[in-house]
Amino acid sequence: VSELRIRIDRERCMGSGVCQFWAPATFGLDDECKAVVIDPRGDPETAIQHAADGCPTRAIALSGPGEGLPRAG
Amino acid sequence: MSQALEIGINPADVARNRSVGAGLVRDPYPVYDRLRETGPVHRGAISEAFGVPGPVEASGIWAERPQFACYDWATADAVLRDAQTWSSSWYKPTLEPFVGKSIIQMDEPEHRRYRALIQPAFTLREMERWRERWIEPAVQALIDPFAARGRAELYMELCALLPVQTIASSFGIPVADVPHFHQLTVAMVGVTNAGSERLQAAREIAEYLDRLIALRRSAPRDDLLSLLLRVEIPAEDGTRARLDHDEILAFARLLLPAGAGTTYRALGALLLALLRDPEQLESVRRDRSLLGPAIEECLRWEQPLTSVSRVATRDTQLAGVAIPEGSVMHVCLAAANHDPARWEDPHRFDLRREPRPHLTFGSGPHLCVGMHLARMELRSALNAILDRLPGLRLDPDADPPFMTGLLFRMPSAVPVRFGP
Repeated sequence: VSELRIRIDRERCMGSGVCQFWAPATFGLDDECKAVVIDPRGDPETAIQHAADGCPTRAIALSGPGEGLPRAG
Repeated sequence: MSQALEIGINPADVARNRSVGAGLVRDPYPVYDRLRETGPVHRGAISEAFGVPGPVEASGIWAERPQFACYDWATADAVLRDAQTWSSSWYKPTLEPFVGKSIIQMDEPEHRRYRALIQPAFTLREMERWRERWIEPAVQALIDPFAARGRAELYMELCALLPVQTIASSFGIPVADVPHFHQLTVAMVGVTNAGSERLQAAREIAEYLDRLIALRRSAPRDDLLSLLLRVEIPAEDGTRARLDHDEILAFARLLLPAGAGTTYRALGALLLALLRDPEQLESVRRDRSLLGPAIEECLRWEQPLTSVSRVATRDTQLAGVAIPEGSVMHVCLAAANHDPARWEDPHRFDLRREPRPHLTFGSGPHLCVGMHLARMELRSALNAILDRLPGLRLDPDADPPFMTGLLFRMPSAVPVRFGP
């Protein structure tokens, strides 16, 4: 089974925590206040999609099953 | 009933609410619909479509520039994300003379360096600490005086006070000083207030904060002022320096009113939305896992601040409309949040709707730094109200409350009865 791949662009990430709000079991913030993936399957795919959509700086790219996120690249 | 609507916790607040459209516009959404359908980008400020004076006309600031506004989700989201084309310098003349040079008016890369200094204090993880230390004590203390009374006007007795107490406490300002402080911050930020009045309020806030800053400098505490005294801003050459006095003041004079004025109205809207729909209120009371969806839906449905503004840094096109460099773009968050292309039956408050990102906190690099705090305040307040005020309902003897306002949206009042 292929699974959703999540990539975070640390340069773009501003540490807003939008991703953590939408998908709290998937995303966290590290000591530098940058988003990190704690469990790529932590939340339903729609929640992860909202996290990527809502990211204010488009720092999250999704690929794999489901919709993916072409405009995040 | 035909008297002018007076909403506010103090004279400055009443004047401020009137200046942002309280009593002038009850339901702007049909107008937004028409503007979206016939636009979505139009020439002219949003207020012009309603025939009421907006901040541009009232203050004269930016009045010589071409004005545009956008009303759909896609355009609003795109403008806010593209901070290179759409500068936040709009806030320079409207706020800098009073607040100082703050992050709200900065563009990249400067904005990010400064914002990063405070971002760690506003993370989701920090919110539990905020709740315990500042929010929950304020919520309980504000409910105490009316908990046994059986009736209350929740908008003034709770909503108007909780956010300002929370943000003031986080800066180390004693609760006893908050009412005076509240009046000053409202007087300082009102774009339609006389410049001299705004400057006087800004000076008084500075004098007050100067004393507090001196105290924290000698004895730091665990609060935002101490944080601002401690952090170091990285320069382009990699060296780091402490914030200077003016920079600290600007942060404080921005965050205090920002924290006080918005969640105040959002909490009022949330309570009114639920009280007007007893079935939805009852479902949240019974199942607190619906608190989150109810809060997100209300944030989308009646955002406290309906628009933010930007300035074009170059000639550009937006939805087929040519925008000359230097033009002002008013981004209508409220119209975007009611775009039927994104939300089915958008004018309906429906907490069963699947939450998805809205524009109430903005988007792009200037996304509200206090959004997690706002949500925590809404959650704590609603939880406490449901726990402590059984049988909560609209007061049948009071004038039926309604939502009102143009630049800001707010309830006219939230009169309630409770108890057996």
